[in-house]
Amino acid sequence: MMIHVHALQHRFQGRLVLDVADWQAAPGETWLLAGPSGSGKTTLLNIVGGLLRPSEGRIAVGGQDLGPLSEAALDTFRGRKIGIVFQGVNLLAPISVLENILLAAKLAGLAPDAARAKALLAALDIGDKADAKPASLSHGQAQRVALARALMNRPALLLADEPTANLDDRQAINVVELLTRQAVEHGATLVVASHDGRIRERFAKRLDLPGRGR
Amino acid sequence: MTLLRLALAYLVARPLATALTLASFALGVGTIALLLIGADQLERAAKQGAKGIDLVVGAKGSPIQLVLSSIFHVDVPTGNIPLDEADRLAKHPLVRSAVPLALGDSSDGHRIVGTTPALPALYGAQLREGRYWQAPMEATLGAFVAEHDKAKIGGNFVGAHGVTSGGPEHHDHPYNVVGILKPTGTVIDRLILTSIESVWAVHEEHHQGAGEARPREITALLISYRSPLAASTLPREINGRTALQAASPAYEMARLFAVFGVALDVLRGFGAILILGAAIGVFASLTAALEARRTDMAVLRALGASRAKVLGFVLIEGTISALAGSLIGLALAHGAAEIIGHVFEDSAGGVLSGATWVGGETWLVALAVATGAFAALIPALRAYRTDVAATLAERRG
Repeated sequence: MMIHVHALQHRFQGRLVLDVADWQAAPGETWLLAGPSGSGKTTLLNIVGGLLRPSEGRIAVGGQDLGPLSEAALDTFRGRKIGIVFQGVNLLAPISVLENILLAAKLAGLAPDAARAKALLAALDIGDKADAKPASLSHGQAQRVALARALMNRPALLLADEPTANLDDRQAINVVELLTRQAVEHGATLVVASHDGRIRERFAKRLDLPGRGR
Repeated sequence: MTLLRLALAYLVARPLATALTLASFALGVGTIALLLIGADQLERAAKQGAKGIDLVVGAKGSPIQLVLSSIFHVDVPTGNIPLDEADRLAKHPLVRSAVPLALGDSSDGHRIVGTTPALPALYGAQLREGRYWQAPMEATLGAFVAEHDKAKIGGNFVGAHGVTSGGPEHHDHPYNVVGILKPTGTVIDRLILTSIESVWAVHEEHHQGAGEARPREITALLISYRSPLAASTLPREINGRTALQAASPAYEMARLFAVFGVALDVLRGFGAILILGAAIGVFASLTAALEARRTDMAVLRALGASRAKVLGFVLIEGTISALAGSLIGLALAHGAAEIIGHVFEDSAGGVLSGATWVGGETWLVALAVATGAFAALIPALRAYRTDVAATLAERRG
């Protein structure tokens, strides 16, 4: 899915936290948003994901200008076109792994396809965890469930925020390989926000955001 | 995975808070529902009991006591009235019918009523077997009496002095059962019906034995007016110009319910406070739960849930608690009514039953659910206003 950002700025409490003159990501590309803490990586990811409206500038995703979309339309667009893997994983604790994944389809107004959800879990080597509660999973397993949830609606754009935080080297590399492989297999554009130097060279494309100091 | 299922999962995930909320709603709704059931059935029984009876005439005394003893058979009579005066009144041009009652004895706690077959006819009673009494000391039993005493046609029993059990028995005057009535759901089911002559036979011989000779008396007359105009003149005429007392069942029962009404209002108020407490519980519980679940709300939004959906989700959670608590409360109220009805079957006259539905209960549940939903509204609005990006950023630390 094509992403086109132009003259994008975002201010928080009057302070400029993001300033991107021009950035384009083509369908199927894998991008790393790099930069030190406070450089606006997560802010840009949130704007691309329609979770945050920029203070100024234009953002179009898949040819759709997000600016004029109503909040409800933006919610639907996000639910159906974009998969997001949060840094904190954030699975819903009271329901099972399978229900967490099916919820993504339900909230996007799509038919919950349990067979697809189970196939995704199997592809991520956690097929036996469908009925488990999130609390019983290891961090790595929970992260895979979060990835399966993000992939459930066949998103054209996959976003991940600091997916390797708190992981050891081997786990960090595994997660990035998993994300890039899944994105390629699903034909999705992948955008990862991370300041983790260990994964810097694992992406085909990179957007460096300058530090803004605090 | 529906929002309903998700809301249920969150409720199950905090069992103590959920159980307390359910218990509060159940207690509030249950208390009020039990009062509604009790008051409704009492009122219906009162109306049914007094159906077709415009006026009760008896000895001077408390008019409520006269009505309760002559129609509902739950109090002692105010005394007796001379038969000749009663006969005169029965022939009054404003009187369409007058059913005489002679009270004074009971058997195994069931009142023996000397009367005419016009009394069971007033209640629409029909014979299940046998026939109505004809000769003195013949008796026809109400359905409950027959079942309770396992009485059969041809069987005998003796009456005891007094309308409550424990008085001296009239062994020399046994009654013979000649008929049993079908159940009517009215007070007639609990009565032993016989002729007035039977009551006289028992008591006149009893008094003559003591050297007394008294004019014949009855206890009361149940009067139906020939014209509605009688309501404005006949009671005044009787109360002002005779030694008798006339009491209107409708007026006296309204007076009695007005007295009960204050107590019922207090108890209803108590139930309403319990429901309000439950609503505050929903508010506190949801507010605390949502504070801990802010990230979950943000995740729902990030996965594509609209603000309205998140609002609805929290409202569903509050509404489920109120609805489930209310249904438990209704079940408890009906169960309690049934149990109370059984425990006090003899004394309460079979008035109370749980197998009934009062119209007010639907409104009660609707009100409780609306209260629960309203209590959930403020936490729901907070969830509605969740700033997704900021909340997820907080979580990242």
